[in-house]
Amino acid sequence: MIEYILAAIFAGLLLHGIHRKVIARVQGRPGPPIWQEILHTLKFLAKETWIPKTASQGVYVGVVAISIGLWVAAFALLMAGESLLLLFALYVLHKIVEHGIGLASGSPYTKFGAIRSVVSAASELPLLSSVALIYLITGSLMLRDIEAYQVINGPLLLPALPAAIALYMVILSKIHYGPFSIVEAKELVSGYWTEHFGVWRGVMNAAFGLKTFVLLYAFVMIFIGPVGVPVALLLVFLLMISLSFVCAATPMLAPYDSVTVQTVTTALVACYIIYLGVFA
Amino acid sequence: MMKRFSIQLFAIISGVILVIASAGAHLGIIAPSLSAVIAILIVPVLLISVGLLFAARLTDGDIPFMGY
Repeated sequence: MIEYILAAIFAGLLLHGIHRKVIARVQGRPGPPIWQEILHTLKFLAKETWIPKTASQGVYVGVVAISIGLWVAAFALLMAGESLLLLFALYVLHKIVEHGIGLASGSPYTKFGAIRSVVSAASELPLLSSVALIYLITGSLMLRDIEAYQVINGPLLLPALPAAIALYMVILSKIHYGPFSIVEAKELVSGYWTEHFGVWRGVMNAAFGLKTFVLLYAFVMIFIGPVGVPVALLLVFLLMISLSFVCAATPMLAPYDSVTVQTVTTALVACYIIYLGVFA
Repeated sequence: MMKRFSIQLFAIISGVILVIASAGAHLGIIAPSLSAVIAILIVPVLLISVGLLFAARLTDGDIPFMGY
């Protein structure tokens, strides 16, 4: 298990590096090398580490451990082909991590990040409609059942396109430098994790790398089906590139605009679900 | 304050537990679900202790837990 976890963290951090590189190239900048995020993580692990006096010591450290534990659990669920509902429950728990990180240090910048995290809870709305539509089509929320359904009926990407768009938006809302990344906007320095430095930042970087990998891999599993690890990794890579293009070409939305876009998306998918339920 | 020795102990023990859990699951001695639960609980301990170990050389073995 540990070998897969470390490989997934490595792949996730590499995806973050590719993300930054693509954004830079689209914007006409050379950008950092693609292994920059891996170097960042290692660099933070070797930096001097302490806890600010204004921080709540237990929460400040505990939330870092929870962040990595949470995404290791999500990765384990993915590998076992367990329930999509559990996977997304862990995704929603990630909100607690964002709140905890933001509120633990006592800094006003991180508190604003935590408050924005509450506002951006709207990003979970497309997730809800996405899960509902997948259940309506496949009749199950177990990842292995969804994959088995796709072996017989073909990829879900087209029949469940609105759900795919909704999940794509959910992933977009969790990607760095995206239009919905209001929790770590530059006016808040680094947002909710501004005051976590040294080892804490290094471990969180690893956790967020794992998060990116898990979310992208889950997207491939849910909408493309069982294609084998090499093809799945290629698809994850292409998905990351497409997200990077969106991030590069889209300015960061104001917090309430971000909520509006996500709520409207949910409403559109909900309309499609009602249409399927009533007419199809 | 945490001393370098205790962090080394945490890092080694957690690393060994993870390797045993992983090998056990591969060999069929441990159920994969148990291996996953062990990983979920121990990976944070391993990563944080290894990180603190890297950082410990800057402060001559001590980890000052409350700073500015």
